[in-house]
Amino acid sequence: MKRFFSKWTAVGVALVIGATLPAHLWGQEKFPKETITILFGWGTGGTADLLLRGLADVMQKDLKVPVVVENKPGGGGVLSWGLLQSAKADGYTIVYVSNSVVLETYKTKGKIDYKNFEPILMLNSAPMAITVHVESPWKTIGEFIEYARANPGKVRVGNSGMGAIFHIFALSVEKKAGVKFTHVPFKAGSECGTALLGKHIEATAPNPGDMSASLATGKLRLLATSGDKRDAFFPDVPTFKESGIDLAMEIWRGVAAPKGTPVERISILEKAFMRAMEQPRSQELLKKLMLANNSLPTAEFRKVYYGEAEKAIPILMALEK
Amino acid sequence: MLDSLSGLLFGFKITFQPENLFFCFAGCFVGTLIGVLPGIGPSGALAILLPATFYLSPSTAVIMLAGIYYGAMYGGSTTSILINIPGEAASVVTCLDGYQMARQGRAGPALGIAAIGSFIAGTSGVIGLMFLAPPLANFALKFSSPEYAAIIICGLILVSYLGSGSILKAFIMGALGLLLGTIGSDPIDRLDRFTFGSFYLLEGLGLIPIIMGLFGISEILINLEEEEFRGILQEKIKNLFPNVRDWIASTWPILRGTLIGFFVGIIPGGNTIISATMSYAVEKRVSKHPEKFGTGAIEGVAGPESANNSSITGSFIPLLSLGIPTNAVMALLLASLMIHGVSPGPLLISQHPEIFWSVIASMYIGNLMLLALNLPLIGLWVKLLKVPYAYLFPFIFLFCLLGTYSLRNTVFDIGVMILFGLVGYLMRKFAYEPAPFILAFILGPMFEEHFRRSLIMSYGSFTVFFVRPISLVFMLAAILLLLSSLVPWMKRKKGAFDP
Repeated sequence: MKRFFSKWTAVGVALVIGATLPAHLWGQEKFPKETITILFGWGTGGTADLLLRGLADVMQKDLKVPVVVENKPGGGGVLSWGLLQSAKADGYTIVYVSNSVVLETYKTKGKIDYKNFEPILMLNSAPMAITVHVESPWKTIGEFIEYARANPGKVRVGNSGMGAIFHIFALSVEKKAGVKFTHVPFKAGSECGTALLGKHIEATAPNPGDMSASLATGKLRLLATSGDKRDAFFPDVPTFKESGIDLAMEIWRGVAAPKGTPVERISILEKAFMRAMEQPRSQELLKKLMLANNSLPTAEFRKVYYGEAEKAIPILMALEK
Repeated sequence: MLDSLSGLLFGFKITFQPENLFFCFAGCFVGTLIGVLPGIGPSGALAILLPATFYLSPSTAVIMLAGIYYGAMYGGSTTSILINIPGEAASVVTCLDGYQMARQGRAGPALGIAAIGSFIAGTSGVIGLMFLAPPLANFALKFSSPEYAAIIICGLILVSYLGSGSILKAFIMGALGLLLGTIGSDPIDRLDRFTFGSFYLLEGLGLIPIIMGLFGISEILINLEEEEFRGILQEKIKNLFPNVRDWIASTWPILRGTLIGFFVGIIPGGNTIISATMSYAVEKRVSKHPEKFGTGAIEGVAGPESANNSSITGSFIPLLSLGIPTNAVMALLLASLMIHGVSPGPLLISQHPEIFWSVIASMYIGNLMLLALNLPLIGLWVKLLKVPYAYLFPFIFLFCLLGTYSLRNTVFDIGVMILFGLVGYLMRKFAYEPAPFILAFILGPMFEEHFRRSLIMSYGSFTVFFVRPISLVFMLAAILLLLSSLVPWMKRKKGAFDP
């Protein structure tokens, strides 16, 4: 009995080693071979969430592994970034990032640090705008600024969070145009739009895409957009630069992986996202969500990502005073 | 008027197509399941199912999503009545009397009245929606933070009505709710309060884990103290359907609940729990035997259940006619419409009449389907109560765990749930009630947000609440509510001085 046991045990062990040997010999495993999780730091239903879910759906079929979006709402993205900082840098966990990750680095005094992430690609960038009600007396950004200068503190500008990118944008307008607003924080861009429709505030700062429902009523007027060029969805609206105010800012949205994720895996993910974005279904989704098709691959995104700090942090620091 | 009727017929024609009928039913069915399973509420489910609707036509997609929303409401009441676990926030109020009725063998009538009240409220709401949509939507735009702050003050005053025991204890629970509601990022400046550096507390203690703990886990713990091997229901099941007395008692509550819910639902931010609470408070106030509330008064089920259903229909009004979502679920519906290239707004009715009217028609049909789904199942549900608790409670516990984990995929929330389960157990031992705590916990942060924002918008002036007509009305209502509770007290005092 003992002999039988040891002979067959030996065979069994040999088979097991033999079966796993190829994997060891392979060295690097094929990536991806299990579920990829995209963490998203807000609740479901917003523009970015819908975009990610649409892309994840396409990528699943492409990469032949499940790609899931997990919502981890908390602190305006902070929870999701905190979780990614402690995740394994193996490419299976990535996170949605936007300008906020840089802003939060300053606000959390480094507990969340944008330098702890490796940018993968930028999905989209969009300019912000100053929007007013059509029944208001200002038809150009110039008239609006004049009024604001004559009435410091009287103009109420809505944003979707103090210290978040749209607030920073409004503060930049103040600085460059020499005016003073009263900033009214709301919880989401759509709330700003509703408040503006009801004429409870004079203007809003978020990007038009976040207020699409209110825009569709036709009762809102964009005065100027904050990009280098005119916004493709609003070709009749001048930029700040064209109107004589030296301001260019955009909100950008992308995905990133923990620092230390192997470069090849980042490249695989980047290409998978790019392929997914090119699908007709994704293009349609972009149009419907009013997002421009201006994604950037890793190299260019890195410039935007790391360059954000120089732009935004001085403004945040000035805010604290 | 004639326009509306012809539109409705047009809507029915579309809805009766087999594909739409199927998805209406699918939505109702899935929604009911989601409502019965505590934790993942309608918004979570809608978000997950949203990509599936990409392949459907816009009307079909909205029909299905609306069905899910309704179904979840209907389903939420089932678990509240049977096992004292609210299927979602608004059902908390149904637990108060519904569960007591179940313990007395009257689960059938409770479930029946809840289903029928919801049906009547839902259908009436749809009729209201049909005729009142455009004018009411414009009215909704006049509401902003000052008005919401005033409404919430009324809501907070109603907290005391939710307790059936000592008023002092209800206030203590309310204060605790306000205190714990401050945990998290503050709504205006986004500074962290009481988070102790934890990322998970940035949004505050989760509402669902707390509800599951305070109501569900504590109930399990209390029941486990019993040494007998029995089911939740010891007495005989009295009857499966409401008797004549129940009907008579419920008529007015259902009517009042429908009206309250509908109008509260139209107001942006007016959500189902506020409607249900207001209805409960109103019923208690006008009842000839208010002390019965909390021990199984059917009015306490009929009113709130109708209110939370009609508030759903009410909340469709700003969405369909102005494109303004008044709560998270409506925002998702809005997103799904936009994905299909439909921008809701004043132009919706003229540009896409098929969507508007088919949604309305499907609401009628959906309500009918839900009634048909829920009523026959009552017999089945009631049998569940007879199952010995020792076999039942592991499943209940599993439900709670799954539901809580499904929110954020973190164990932290489960920890919160268990902690509040223990707290809830102690609370029951010392006769403190959870309902005032929950209401204050929800309303406190909302009040702070709107109150502070109102002050920013008014450049610091406190008169903002009294200068704006709508908020003035609600402030006066709040003052009247306060005074009206003083009157009986003063009467008693006077009586004490009589020789």
